[in-house]
Amino acid sequence: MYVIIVGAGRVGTEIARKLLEHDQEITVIERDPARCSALEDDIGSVVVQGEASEFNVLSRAGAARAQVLITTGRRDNQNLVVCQMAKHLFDVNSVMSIVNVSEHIELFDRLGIEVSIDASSMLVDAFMDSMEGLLTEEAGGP
Amino acid sequence: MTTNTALLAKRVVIGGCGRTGSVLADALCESGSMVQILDLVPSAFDRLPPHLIRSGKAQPLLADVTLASSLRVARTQDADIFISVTGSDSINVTAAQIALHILRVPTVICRMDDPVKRDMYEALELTAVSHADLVRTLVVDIVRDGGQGR
Repeated sequence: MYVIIVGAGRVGTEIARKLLEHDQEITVIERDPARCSALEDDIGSVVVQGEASEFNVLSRAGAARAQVLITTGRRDNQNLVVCQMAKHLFDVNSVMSIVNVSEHIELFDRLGIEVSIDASSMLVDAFMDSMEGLLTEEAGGP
Repeated sequence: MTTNTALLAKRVVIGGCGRTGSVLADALCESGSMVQILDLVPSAFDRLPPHLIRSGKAQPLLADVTLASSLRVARTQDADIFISVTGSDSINVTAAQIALHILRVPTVICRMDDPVKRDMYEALELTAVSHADLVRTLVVDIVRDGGQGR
């Protein structure tokens, strides 16, 4: 299986590493040159430097023969466009994305972007849950 | 182009109050439409002709067009037309699809700066207007007329 991962942040890097452990072919697209060379030192030459929302960059990364594309960026609109380009311009079978703002989950769902994990809102929910007892105590206080 | 301006009188929401958005707001108000214009940056609204704001024909509103909740505050769900003309293709594509699929606006138009992605807009059934295409058409016309553009 050939997988393109967009973004060499913590999530992107970790997915890349796991897929390599499973002997899958991958390419990581990352805009920041410093991050690119750090990743190359780490896991080898599987990096394409550039803006994934540009046609030429996706093309250079071999999007036309990818089965899966995963976007892990912090900007949902950028993630959305890259996923839609992969789907509609390169016929990538499955496109997946991180969703950073929970409000965007509905949109990604409707547009058929397969897995949407809202990492930050999951964290916020978890912290809010942990503080629930404290918050009600305070509200009931003097 | 129609001469019957009443046909153009609509409730329009414009995303982005840059050069394009402010000129569009002016033109649409002129033809009798009610325009709500959205931007993230307050100073962007300085581009709007003051008489449009005074007369209430154009209403500026601070909003993030990539959020359905923000677009709902501008009552985009009740608009006849939503036009996304921010300086970013990906913001415009996101906003246009929220307007189309979540808020069900009957007519959605978005600005496209990179015509290489035209096939994607077609596949997504998004009506896109490209600056590059317009400039090309106009320039080709002028050249064809022997360089005598007005």
